[in-house]
Amino acid sequence: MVDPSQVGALKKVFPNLELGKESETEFIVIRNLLLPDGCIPEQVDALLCPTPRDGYPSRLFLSQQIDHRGKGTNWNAAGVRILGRQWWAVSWKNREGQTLLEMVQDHLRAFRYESPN
Amino acid sequence: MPKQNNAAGMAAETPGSTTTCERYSPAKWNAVVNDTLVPAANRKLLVRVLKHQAGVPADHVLVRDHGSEVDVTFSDDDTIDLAEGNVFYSVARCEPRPPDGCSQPAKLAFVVQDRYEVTIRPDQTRETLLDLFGLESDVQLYRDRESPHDELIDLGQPVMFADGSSFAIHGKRPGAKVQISINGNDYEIAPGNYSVEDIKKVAKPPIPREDTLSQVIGGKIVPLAPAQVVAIKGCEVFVSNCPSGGAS
Repeated sequence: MVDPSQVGALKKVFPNLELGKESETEFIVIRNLLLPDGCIPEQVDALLCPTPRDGYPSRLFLSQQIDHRGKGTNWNAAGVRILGRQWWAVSWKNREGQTLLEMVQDHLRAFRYESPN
Repeated sequence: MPKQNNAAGMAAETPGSTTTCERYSPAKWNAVVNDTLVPAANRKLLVRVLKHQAGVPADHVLVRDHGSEVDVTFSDDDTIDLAEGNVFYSVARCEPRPPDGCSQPAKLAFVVQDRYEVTIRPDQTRETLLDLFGLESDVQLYRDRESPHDELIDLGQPVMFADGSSFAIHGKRPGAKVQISINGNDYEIAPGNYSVEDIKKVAKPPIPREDTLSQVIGGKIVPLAPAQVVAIKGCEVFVSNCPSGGAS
């Protein structure tokens, strides 16, 4: 079960948050998530799967494929149907044991331009 | 020791205070007419003027509310002193009115930031007034005057209704702390400029130096550069993480 205190902390940053469950897996929908600079579109809905899935410790799905300047270029989840909607995700492996806030921040790095230095 | 005004309306220097003499402009006044807040040009004004400004129908009379059966009725040509009570209602002229002879104190509407609360006590203090309005004790309360220079109300200072009904709040008292959020936890710190490292140290436990600190601005997570300085005014939201993800 998702830690309620972590959900509370996540909600302080992303107020439009909903919990969902499908096939015993809990998901967190973040509505109107503002993406890093350079992303097109700038804002999408996101779906966080905070538990291991597809070989990843966690996954952040977006409601559409986006253009961006980050390193996450391998869209290996395209139109996956979860909670009645279609979702897209890049191949991005974060570490285990993160809080929900850390997960979202780490996954967003896939779409953020970071200078080589 | 609270400031005392002398007969000229000047804030006189009192023993132990560091305030020099200042001349204050007249205080602003308001009235509440039929539960509606109405600014008043002066403390004393014609009933006709107040009725017009409050939108009271011409065929109504103005009555000062004393919360009794025998409130005070005015004719249009009367001059009212808002310091004697600034809460009014109107009734149709044709309605029978009891004879004057009210012995109850008039209702008094203190106004802070265009919001009013009614009491019958003309003698308040800064603290009782803030309590009346449910305001935090660390705000800077000013008596609203007809000039850019309002009168700061000191801690414990008496606040007499007769000196003006209108007040304003300009920020928090120096030294007052503000609230920020770091990783979903709230912390109180003094406002001011903070380096990223300083903000990391506010968190309990402190955020490791190698972690990235980001500020949530307009709903967007914006990473902060290690050398960045952030102006803390209150309600800032920060998150941190140790970057670990990578394309795979």
